[in-house]
Amino acid sequence: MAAITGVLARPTSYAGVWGWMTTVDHKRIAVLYGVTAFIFLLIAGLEAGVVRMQLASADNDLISAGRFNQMFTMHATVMVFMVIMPLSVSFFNFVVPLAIGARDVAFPRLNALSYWIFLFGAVLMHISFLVNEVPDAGWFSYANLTEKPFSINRGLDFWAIGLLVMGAASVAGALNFVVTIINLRAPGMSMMRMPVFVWMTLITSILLVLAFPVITVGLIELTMDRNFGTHFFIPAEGGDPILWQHLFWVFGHPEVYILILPAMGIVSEVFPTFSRKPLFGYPFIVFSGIVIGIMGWAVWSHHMFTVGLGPVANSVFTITTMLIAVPTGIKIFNWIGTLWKGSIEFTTSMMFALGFVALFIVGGLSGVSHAVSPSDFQQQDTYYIVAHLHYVLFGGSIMGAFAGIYYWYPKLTGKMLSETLGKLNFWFIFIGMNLTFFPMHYLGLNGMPRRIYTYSAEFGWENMNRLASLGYVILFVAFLIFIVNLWQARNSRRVSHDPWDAPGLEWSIASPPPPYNFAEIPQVEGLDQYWIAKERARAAGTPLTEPEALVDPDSIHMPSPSYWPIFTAAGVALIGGGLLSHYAISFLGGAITMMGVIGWGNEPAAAPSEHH
Amino acid sequence: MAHETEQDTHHPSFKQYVLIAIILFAITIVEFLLIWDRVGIVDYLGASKIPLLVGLSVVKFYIVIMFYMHLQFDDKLFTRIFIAGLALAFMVGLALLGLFSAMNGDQRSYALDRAVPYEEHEAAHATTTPGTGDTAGSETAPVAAGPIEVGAKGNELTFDTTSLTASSGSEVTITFTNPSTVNTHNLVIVEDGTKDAVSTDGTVAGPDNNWVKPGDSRVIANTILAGPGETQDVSFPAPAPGTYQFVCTFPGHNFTMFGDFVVN
Amino acid sequence: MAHAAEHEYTTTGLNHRKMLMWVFLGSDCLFFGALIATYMVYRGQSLVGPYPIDIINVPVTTISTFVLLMSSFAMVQALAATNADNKRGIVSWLLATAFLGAIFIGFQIVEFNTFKNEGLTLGGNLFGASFFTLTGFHGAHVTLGIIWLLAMAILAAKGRVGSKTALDVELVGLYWHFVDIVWIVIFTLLYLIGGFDVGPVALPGG
Repeated sequence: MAAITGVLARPTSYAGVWGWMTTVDHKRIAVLYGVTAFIFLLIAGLEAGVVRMQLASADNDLISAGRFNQMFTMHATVMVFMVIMPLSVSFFNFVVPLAIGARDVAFPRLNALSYWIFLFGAVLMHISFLVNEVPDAGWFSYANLTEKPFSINRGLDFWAIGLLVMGAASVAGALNFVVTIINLRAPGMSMMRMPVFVWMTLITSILLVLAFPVITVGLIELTMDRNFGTHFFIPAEGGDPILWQHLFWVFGHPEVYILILPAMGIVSEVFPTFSRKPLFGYPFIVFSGIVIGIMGWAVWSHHMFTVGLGPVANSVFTITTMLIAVPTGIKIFNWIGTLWKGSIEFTTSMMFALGFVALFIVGGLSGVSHAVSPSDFQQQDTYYIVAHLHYVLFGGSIMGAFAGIYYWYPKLTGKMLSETLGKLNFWFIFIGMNLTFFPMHYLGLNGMPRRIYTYSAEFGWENMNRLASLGYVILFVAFLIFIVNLWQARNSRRVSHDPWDAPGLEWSIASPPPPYNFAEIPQVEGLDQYWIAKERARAAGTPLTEPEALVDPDSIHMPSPSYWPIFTAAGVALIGGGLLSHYAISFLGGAITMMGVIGWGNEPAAAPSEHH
Repeated sequence: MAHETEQDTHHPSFKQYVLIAIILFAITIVEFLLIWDRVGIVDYLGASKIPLLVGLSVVKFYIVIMFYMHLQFDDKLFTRIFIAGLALAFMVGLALLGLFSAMNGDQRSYALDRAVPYEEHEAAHATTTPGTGDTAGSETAPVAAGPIEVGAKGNELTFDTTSLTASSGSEVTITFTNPSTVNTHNLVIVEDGTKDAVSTDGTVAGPDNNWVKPGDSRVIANTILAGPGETQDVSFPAPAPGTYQFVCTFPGHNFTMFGDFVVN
Repeated sequence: MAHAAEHEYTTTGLNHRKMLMWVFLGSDCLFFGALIATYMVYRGQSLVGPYPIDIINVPVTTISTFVLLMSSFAMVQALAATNADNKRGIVSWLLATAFLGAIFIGFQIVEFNTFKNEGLTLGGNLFGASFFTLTGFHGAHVTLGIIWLLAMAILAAKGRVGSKTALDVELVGLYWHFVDIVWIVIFTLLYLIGGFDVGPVALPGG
């Protein structure tokens, strides 16, 4: 058995780069995801900058049309799959085990595997820049533009295979969280006593495992069309490009809920904390989340209203799409109810959460106008849609993520991000975001199509475009401020384990949390368990000011680090890489994956005599 | 072979498993007989064979899940988890099928039936704007004795003229020069009002046929494909006097790249 | 496989890995569902032959369906043997399952070759594309299952599989049966029903 387990001895310490490469600790994996997502945020942000600079003037020739296509394609693809999703997963990883009173996720090594496969997949897609064959058919890559001979170079193959690899990571991660949330809650934490963020994680994870297989099939069929001679989406041979659209959007619509539900969960944690009130209408918020998750499967063709599906299909999807606005509205009213007569603290985190609600409402309103298919006929493929999607994704998901970063940073590090810089950060983002994207409503209704690399001055779009590009500059500064804030926080003063006097279980332990999270698995008696415990202690005259006492880490059996996840992930990535270069590499990748799985299977979850 | 005598109440016995296996085989045999033409049952069934076969398969499916996969005896949570995925897959699949066939007939023919031929608009505009002239150059090419020169407008998808004429009885030569840097075009002379239909059939015919269906009776003549910067010509005897059309049948170009060809 | 502590705390009392497998199988339904949907959408849409009625051989495939069903029976016996700590039985039944699965794959390979020789290819028409993709991915699932079964058989031969680690066998069993029920669906749709499809047909309502 030892011989199979590998040449290398099992790692035992957390130290150094090797410690990070072999970690199975959810808190460290959260950091890995978060840092990676942030780097890609900067990359995709720069791509957006190129787009905005090109569009700032009419008849501009800063970059070629081909390069422009690459920029908007990669900007969107990176933002969706390599920024918002990993940011969400970073929060899932850090918060969920702590919030449910668990020591780690159900499958720590699978958790690590998900991260490494994601990273390698993202890198794989970016190799396309090194060989100058960058995906350029939009983030949704409609057939049959994506077929050869219309997209001859390997750009679309990088896109498809990169996504296939990253999709495997997402599914593996989501499977882990579904089992974790169902099966690792502390005693007494029934489903209806789970924090809303945990509920949203559960719903998002279920959506992930169900939606990704559909796009996997689409990507496989596209790759086969491009490389193995099939004609799934080629009309000349009887194929139907609309099938691609259906497969993509059956995935794509649940995907946008995957992108927004975590942010809604974060905001549902932030509001009660900084209103000093329990969340209003908890069951309604939970059930509306479930309803959104289910109904999200019934609306996908609203992305296809102008394709010619016919009046019956268009009407059905109009109705379902209008209906899905209702549960979101319910959430918003309940959030307002939480704020109502609360004792509001305008911390940075709270401001981002408030900003989320305001901007998401704007995005939701434009969304409702798209839901009605006749008006969508005018809006589709115009900048009006660009405005909508950025309000919900930037004003929604990104603002929510920032709310979460400012909220949980002290738990992760034991230090606080500067509130002054934080508020500056907030205002620059808020103003910059509105300046960039609000004019796009006008541009769209004035006829400016999406995905054009330039436009004539006589259309009269230049002024609004200038404004939008100016907004970008403000956003650029906003992110610089955030980086400065992160940097200076390294040397800021330490804060207590519970700086916000918050309701969640995660605040009852030390900051940063010890490797084992909870010395004693807590007993849960209700929602907002830590508030209950603190209230009871206050009433008894012995306020809880100290975190849970630390114990000797060796006394608690934690899963040991392992190099099999990163090893196996490399194998999976090589399978993908080989498809883009030489098939021999894929076989090598397959062999490595197989070896990884065998080694992994032979390795016990915790090294028997090792404690660390 | 293990013979379970001490039964865990949650496991079927060996005999029960054998019985289940026999049932599964039997159902499969029945399914096979239902469609085997030598037995002839299928001829009596007609379309009702489909619900029958589906029903029998559902029974097999249920038996394997409930007994072999043990859902009958396990915690209901597992059943719910699996059914969630299964039900979703089933419903989305049905919805997709509906979108592709049942709702408005075949999606393709639905779109085709309702496609408004652009020549109708063309005619309407021609009567409402007499002689004031369009903004973009619609010069009338003179009745040509020599080759008729036609080009396209830069990288746009339009010819540089919307009207050509020729004399009946003459040998007509059209020289098409493609000034575009990215587009490929052709020039096809067709019967009046058929430009879109010819283009549709041309798309199916593919580039090897120069985007024109071989033997298409509506086509009077056509050039082969002219790539960026290329020139192609075609010569043909002028057809009977009347109005025809010329169009580029590269997929998608026919909507804006056409004109009238009048033979006097 | 890993000697996980089977007595770890779980909120529901249900095992983590078993739950993981069921969620994964639910997810795999969507994968096969999308492939099946592609096939169904493209029924009757192939511009050229060969068409199903020219190619599909229901009698032969019925035999391979039997084989797969038998392999599920063998799988169930393997689990029973595991629960009874019958080492010989475990190894024999696991090998039998893998062997029957391999016979099924053998049938698939012969079938693919025959079809190819009769002119059905991935690129030839939509029927070829959707048929080979769907059955090919199913075959890939079966193949992975065979490898897993063989690995388990090796472990069993070394005495590392028994009633205490019965979950390991149960997991491969769940996967194997799932692959079997997917085949039940494929057999019905592509062979029993779709096997008689002729050339381009007007779809209902068209």
